[in-house]
Amino acid sequence: MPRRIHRHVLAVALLAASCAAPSPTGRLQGVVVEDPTPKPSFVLTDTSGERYDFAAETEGKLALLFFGYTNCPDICPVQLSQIAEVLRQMPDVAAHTEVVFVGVDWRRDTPEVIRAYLDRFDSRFVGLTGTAEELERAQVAAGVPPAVVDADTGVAHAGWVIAYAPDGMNHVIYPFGTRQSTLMNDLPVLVTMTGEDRR
Amino acid sequence: MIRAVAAVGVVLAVVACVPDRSPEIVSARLSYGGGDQAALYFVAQGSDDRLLEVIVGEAAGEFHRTETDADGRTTMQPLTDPPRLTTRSPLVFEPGGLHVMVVGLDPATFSPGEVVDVTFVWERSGRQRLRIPVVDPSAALGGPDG
Ligand SMILES: [Cu+2]
Repeated sequence: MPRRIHRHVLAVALLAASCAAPSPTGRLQGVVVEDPTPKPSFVLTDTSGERYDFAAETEGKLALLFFGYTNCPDICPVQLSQIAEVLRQMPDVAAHTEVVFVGVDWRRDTPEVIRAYLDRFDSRFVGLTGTAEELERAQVAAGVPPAVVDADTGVAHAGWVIAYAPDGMNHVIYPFGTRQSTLMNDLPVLVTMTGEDRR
Repeated sequence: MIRAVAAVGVVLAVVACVPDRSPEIVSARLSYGGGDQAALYFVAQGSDDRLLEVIVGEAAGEFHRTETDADGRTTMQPLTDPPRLTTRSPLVFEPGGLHVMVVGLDPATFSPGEVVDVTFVWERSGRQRLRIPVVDPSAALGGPDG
């Protein structure tokens, strides 16, 4: 009998401990990735014409990666402006975050067009472009279906934001329709996920 | 029984005699993040009608639907038929679904926080003119959560 009580006490204690310090992933409200994938390695061209190595440039930071196109009034501006608004309200988080927009419409998303577009949201946002082949490679590396750019049907692209924590892993994604309150909750959690706790 | 049937008949007659109402437009907002493009979202309800055209300022909008393919890619497709609403099912234009895409806007003429003249042209109800707020895209989803 005492042994049994003991076991109950232990269970309660464990439960209390898990409530007091839930895992960072457990506090995320976005769509959590069951098996986190490592940050892809790809090189594209940024809006100043420089080569941009995604993995190297975002190392140790929270990287929010989004494949979109500038001629998109419905999904892309909502995603980008939500992130911009949250980072405006959280300068400490913004200091450790890199937002990377890849313009998949190689026909019209030139570095100049992308820069002007991103400046409407946040001039710190990084804009990338490349040849059709480079863009496709980057999307495959990031695990999204490569965009289809068609003269007749327009641009079909993956509409979700991929978040890589400072530990270099993709723990969570933000599909279209994600509320700003979800990002407000998650971004401060993500910037703390440096991987130190697992070493 | 006869009484009940008569009562139903009277009710039906009354319903049939209610004059046509123009659709009621609720939660309309023009999502504008700069440049020359914007997307108009709204809910139209309470009527049987088809929406032929929407004019934002001077610019005629296009009816688009955002669709998602089996792999998760989203794309905008123009509607081939005028969108319809009935008294039973409202017409919902919302981010990620239907939107009125407006191109060719002059960025100097409006910005978030202002209102813009929008004309809805209905097949039965004719023209309906409204003043609609311009919102930042971060508020396009509507509601308190942003
Ligand atoms: Cu559109």
